[in-house]
Amino acid sequence: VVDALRFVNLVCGALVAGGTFFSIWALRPVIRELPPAEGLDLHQRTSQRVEKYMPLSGLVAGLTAIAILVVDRDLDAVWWITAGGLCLTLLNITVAFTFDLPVTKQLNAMSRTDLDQAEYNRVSDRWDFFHIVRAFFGYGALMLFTIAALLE
Amino acid sequence: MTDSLLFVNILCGSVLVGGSFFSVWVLRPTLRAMPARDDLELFRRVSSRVEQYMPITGLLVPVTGIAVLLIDRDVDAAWVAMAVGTGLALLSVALLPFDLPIAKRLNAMQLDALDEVGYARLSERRDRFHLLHLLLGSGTLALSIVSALLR
Repeated sequence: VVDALRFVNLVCGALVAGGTFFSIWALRPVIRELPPAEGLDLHQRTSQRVEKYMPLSGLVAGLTAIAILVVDRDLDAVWWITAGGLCLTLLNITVAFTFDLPVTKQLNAMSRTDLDQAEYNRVSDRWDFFHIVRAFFGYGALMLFTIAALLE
Repeated sequence: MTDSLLFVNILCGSVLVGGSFFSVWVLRPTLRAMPARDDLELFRRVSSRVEQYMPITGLLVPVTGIAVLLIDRDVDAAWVAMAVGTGLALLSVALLPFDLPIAKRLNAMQLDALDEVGYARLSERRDRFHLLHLLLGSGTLALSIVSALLR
C-alpha cells in the first residue's frame, strides 16, 4: 500500500513541479514580453486549462503523503523525510490559497479592452514572485519524496 | 551511487514529463485556438526558452538510466523495470530524427507570408510527435519510480 501511495505521490509531484517550472521558465517570460493586452489574453487562456489539473495534482500529492505517514508509522528517517516533504507541500498549498489565488483572480478579472498597464505589471510581478516561491516548495517536496522512496 | 543516479533520473524525468504535459495539455490547445500567425510566433518564442533546459534533462534520463543498469547488474525486477524504462527513453531519443525536421520547417516558415494550410498540417504532425514523446517519457518516469520502490 505504501509503495502504491508513493508512486501516486511522486507522479503527482512531478506534474506539479515540472509544470510549474515550464510555466516560470518558458511561458511567463514570453507573456511578459508581449504587449500587456496580448499577454493578459494568453495568461487568462492558459490559466483556465492549468486549473483543470494542477490544483488536483497538488492536492493528491499532499493527501498521499499524509496517507503514507498514517499507514507507515515507523518513525525512522524515511518517515521524517516524508513528513518534511509534506510540510513543503502544505506550505505550497498555503501560499497558493492565501496569496496566489487572489492575485490570479485579479488577473483573470482584468479586461483587455480598458487595461490599466501599471496595475497589470504590478499584479503580474506579484504572480511571478509567488510562483517562484511555490516552485521552490514544489521541487523541495519532490526531492524529499524521491529520497524517501529511495531510502525505503 | 545507484541511489544518487536514480535520484537524478527521477528528478529529470519529472521536469521532462511535467513540462511536456503542460505543453501538450495547456499550451498547445491554447495556441491552436489562436490565428495561425500568432500560434507560430508564440510557439517559436516559448520553444527557444524550452530548448535551454529540456534537451539536457531529456539526455540525462537515458544516460543515468544506462549508468544504473551498468553499475547494478543484479538482474531482478527493479533492474528489468529500469531497463524497460530506459528503453522507452531511448525510443523517444530515436524519434528525434523524424521530429526535428518538422520543427526546422516550422521555424523556417515566414510569418508575413504564412501558408496556413501547410502550417496546420505540419503543426498537427509536430503535436502528434510531442504527444508520443510525452507518452514515452511518462512510461520512463513511471518505471523509474517503480524501480526505485522495488529496490
